[in-house]
Amino acid sequence: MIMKSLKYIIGILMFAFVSCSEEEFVPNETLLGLGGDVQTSSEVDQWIYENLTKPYNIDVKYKWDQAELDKNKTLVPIKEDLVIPVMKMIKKIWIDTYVELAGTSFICQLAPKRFVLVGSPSYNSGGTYTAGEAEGGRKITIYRLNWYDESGDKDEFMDLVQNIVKTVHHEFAHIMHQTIMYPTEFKSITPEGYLSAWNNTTDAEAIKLGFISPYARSTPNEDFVEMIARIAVYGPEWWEARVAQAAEIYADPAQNVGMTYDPVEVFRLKESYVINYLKDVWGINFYDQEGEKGLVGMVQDAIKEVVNGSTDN
Amino acid sequence: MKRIYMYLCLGLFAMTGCDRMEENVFDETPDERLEKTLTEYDELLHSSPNGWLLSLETGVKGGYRFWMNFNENGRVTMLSDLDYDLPTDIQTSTQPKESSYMLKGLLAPSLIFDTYNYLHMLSDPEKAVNGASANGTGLEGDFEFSLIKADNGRIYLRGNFNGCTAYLDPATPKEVECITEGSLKSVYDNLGEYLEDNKFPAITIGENKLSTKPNARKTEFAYMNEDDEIISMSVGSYMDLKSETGEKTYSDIYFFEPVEILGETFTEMIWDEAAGNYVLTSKGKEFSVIDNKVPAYPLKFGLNQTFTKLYLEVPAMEGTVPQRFLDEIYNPAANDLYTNGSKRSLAYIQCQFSENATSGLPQMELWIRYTNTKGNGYTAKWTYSYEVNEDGTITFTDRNQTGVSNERITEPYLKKIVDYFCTIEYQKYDTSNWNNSIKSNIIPHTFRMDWATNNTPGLTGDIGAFYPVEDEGLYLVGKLTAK
Repeated sequence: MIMKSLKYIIGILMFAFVSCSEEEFVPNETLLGLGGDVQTSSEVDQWIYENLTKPYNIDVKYKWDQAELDKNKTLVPIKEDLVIPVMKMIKKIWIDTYVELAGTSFICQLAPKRFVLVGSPSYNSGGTYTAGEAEGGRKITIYRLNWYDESGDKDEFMDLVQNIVKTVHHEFAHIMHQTIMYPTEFKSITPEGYLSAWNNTTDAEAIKLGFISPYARSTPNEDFVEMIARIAVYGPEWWEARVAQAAEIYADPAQNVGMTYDPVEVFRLKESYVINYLKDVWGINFYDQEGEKGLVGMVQDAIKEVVNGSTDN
Repeated sequence: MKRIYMYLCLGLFAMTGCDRMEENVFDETPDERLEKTLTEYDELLHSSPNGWLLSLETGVKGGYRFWMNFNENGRVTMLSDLDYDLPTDIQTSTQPKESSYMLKGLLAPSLIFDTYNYLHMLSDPEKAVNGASANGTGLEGDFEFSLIKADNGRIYLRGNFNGCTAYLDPATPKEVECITEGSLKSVYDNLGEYLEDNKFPAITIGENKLSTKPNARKTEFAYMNEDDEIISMSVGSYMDLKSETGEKTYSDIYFFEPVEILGETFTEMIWDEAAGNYVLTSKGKEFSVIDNKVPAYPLKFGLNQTFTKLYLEVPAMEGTVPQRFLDEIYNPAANDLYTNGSKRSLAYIQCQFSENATSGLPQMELWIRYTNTKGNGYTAKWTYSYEVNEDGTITFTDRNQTGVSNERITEPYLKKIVDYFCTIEYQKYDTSNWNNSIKSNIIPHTFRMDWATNNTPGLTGDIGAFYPVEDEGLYLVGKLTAK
């Protein structure tokens, strides 16, 4: 009997304590920094909101935030007056083309949610630099944007624009296939060519093996998105020249030693996978068809317009 | 029962452990305090009607100065002294530039200059922007700072990335007036004038002469210790604008860290208007900075010494080369070479200490460079064996030719110079093969080697000379180099 009542008492005591502690637990109302930094909205912020955030749910971080970046790299912010020109260019060559081909909701659904703009290149220890990086389809970081000079040397400007949008198209293509996968047969076109130490590959070696770029050798996924991004950004002429180079290598006894397959066939096969995937899964024409512009044609037109001086739309 | 008591005890423990009535050490929560600190700093930044002067020590080059005006909308306007030594023509000291800034609670309350401005050029990893030696880390600057404290009007900052020391001081109306006319940069012209008039500023600490040289972004100290080693140190420093506002002839100089040298500790160099020199103070003692005319420590010139070469190009050292040397040695040789040696013109003289390639013995090489009328040059070479005497003087004991044909032909014309170190008289001078020549008399000459005074406007570097002990006024002067 005593035992039982004691147990009750203990039980009651425990309850009392529990309820009492809940009362005390009041969350702090003034947690600082939650909800982001409070900033005065500038003309640049307005432009970003109106043109990217509101219509496409894309945020552009151009103000310095070390937390977004590698703490072992010396980097500096982008020049404020370059933010709008750079993002106008990206919008024109990337968003606008996909919106026209697949609709606004397609971009809203798939687009990376944040662009981080950095002024300087991200130098690596060997003297090379990183031009762009992406994190899981959510964030794209673009470096060396302070080089962006619309009124500078046309060829240099063209190189830079192509380089920047290639990164964006590359990462976006990743998001597409991560959402709906391309046919797995693509992976068995050149299974032996994939190499984790791809960075020692020269351009010519890549072509010889049926890869559009050295980086395409790293994995089938990279191979697939490099095909989309490079053909779209560098254009059909560049691509056909690459295929022609592959044909030349394969026909040249001095260069074709040990080659077990025709890289031209491989290139054409990979190309057809890209064309069919975009058409069947997303309803997008890769090349122009029946008088209608495809992705490649539209990207090419947009690049030419940007480089020749007009980024207005 | 025992077990029940155990439960009871446990229950009681649990309850004491959960007592939430602990009192806060501060009246406000950490967030409230952080918020308050940030607000206070923001108000402080806006409290200076003439803006602020930021003094910043970078990891690579030393002290930089900026003028900054913070306005209400998170915007800041800057000017900077960067264009004093920039590889590009960006006018940072005269073209104001606006960008944004933010106060934010990071690990410490921080002031972040979050869009690009002149300040970021120091941190820019591209060497083309700021003249760093390689791409990668820039000049090791900072544009995100922890606010350490505000004390006596000054805000103390510490860089979050490279740990740069920095201060913000309120600017005076007079300073702003000058700054808008480019004073952040032109203040260095003033320093340049000081260094033109005082080539080897030095202080004396006990027995030691200590070279004390204020350069644009760093102040350098050097002396020779009892082991004959040159001990040097440099400290990041910055100048105020007193020489620009007209308050003083030369600006006062401040060190970012105290300099501890020869038992003294210095933090600044103050211009003493009445005395007409800078003064350093340590532990209540004053040390006047006086121009020593030559470096404050003995010259180490010779084989395996600090300097091994002396180079004389007469037109570049006008005023420094003694007239007697020109009249008695250099010009007669140059004229003779021109008149008798197919109009060859003398270009320069170089003396260098080395080891003989075959014998391994120390030698002094005399190089005389001349050009013919077509502009083609040739360097004729002679070598001298020498002995170092107990008093440190050096005696050149013999001379040989090393070249192929030029020396053989031109030696008679250049006799005044080649005989300067050691005179050779020949019984027979063979113009087809010098080795067949027969020396009849060798007259060695002895020299003291020491610093020489630089009297040439705009000429920089270490100036030394060979002083003939028989006739010191006839010295051969030149620019000293290490190798």
